[in-house]
Amino acid sequence: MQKFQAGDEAAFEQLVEAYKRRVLAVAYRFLQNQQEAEDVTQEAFFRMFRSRDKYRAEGKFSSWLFTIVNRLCLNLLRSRKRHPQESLRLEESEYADQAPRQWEDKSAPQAAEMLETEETREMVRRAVQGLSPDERMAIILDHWESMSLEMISQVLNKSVGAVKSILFRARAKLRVKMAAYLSPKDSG
Amino acid sequence: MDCKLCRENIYRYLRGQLSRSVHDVFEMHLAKCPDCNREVAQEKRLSEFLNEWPAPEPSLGFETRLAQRLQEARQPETGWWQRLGRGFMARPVWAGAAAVLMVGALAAVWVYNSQVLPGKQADMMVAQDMELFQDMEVIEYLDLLENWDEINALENDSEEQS
Ligand SMILES: [Zn+2]
Repeated sequence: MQKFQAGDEAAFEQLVEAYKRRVLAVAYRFLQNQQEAEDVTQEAFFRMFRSRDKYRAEGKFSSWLFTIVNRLCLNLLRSRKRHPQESLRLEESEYADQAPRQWEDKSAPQAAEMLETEETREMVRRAVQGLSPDERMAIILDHWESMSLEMISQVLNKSVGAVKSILFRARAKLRVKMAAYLSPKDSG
Repeated sequence: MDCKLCRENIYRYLRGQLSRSVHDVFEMHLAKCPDCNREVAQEKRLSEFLNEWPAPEPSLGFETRLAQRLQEARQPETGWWQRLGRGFMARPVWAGAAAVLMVGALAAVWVYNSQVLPGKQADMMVAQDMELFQDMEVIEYLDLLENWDEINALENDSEEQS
């Protein structure tokens, strides 16, 4: 990272290589739109490079990068709200709370086993989309990126305690949304 | 360990983050508490479901577009007009707004020139137009400034080392 600050192009390339897939995955799971996620990824690295002198080496690099990613994602959400006609499709699924009804109805004990992979993905996707932005980002960084609570707290600019309760709430919501498939199959 | 404490630790338990001794006490509680046992099973199952959602594959043009954007980043900071072209105008809405303002500004120049200004002061008007666009650039970068407030705040109380 110091090399990168000193303007070493190769160091920058390495950072981009190391992080681009992760940044794309985070943005995608958050925005659930491929094009927007790719835009955010490009913009994040662009800004990272342009502001490298503002980065201080005592901070963890990845939390700095993902802070930028989080802000860009939030900006995008705001602009969707300002221009709803441009994102009708997204708007439609924005409030996904009611969306998984089709799964909730068939609450047979074996339902979980009958879920096809595609269906499971769709269920997860919708459930995650129903979370608030903070909850969504927290669960993404926690579950899929395996980031520590400390790092998530830096990205969200919240205390570790606050992040803990955000995560707790997020998981509780996800469990409610997937209730039919989390039934006590293996509780014995 | 009571149920409340147990529930609070499920998360760390499933990630193997509990210390040896807490881990043992935790499992002792699980062994005799069906409720907490069910909680653990559900949390586990939730994680399994989440794992079913894979990371996306980048689209075909992604690498090329990323490389282009990074090339732009490497170029030395350019004038405001080039930055307008790069970031600001890339968004159709802003481009539209800019076009409207541009037309408005030109109209103003024209009206002003035709009414008051012979010759020389037209240059001054152009300079003022440029200031207008500089303001717009500031508007675009407001989000970035916002970022920096947060990032700076976060760096100040950061305890992590790189
Ligand atoms: Zn218990």
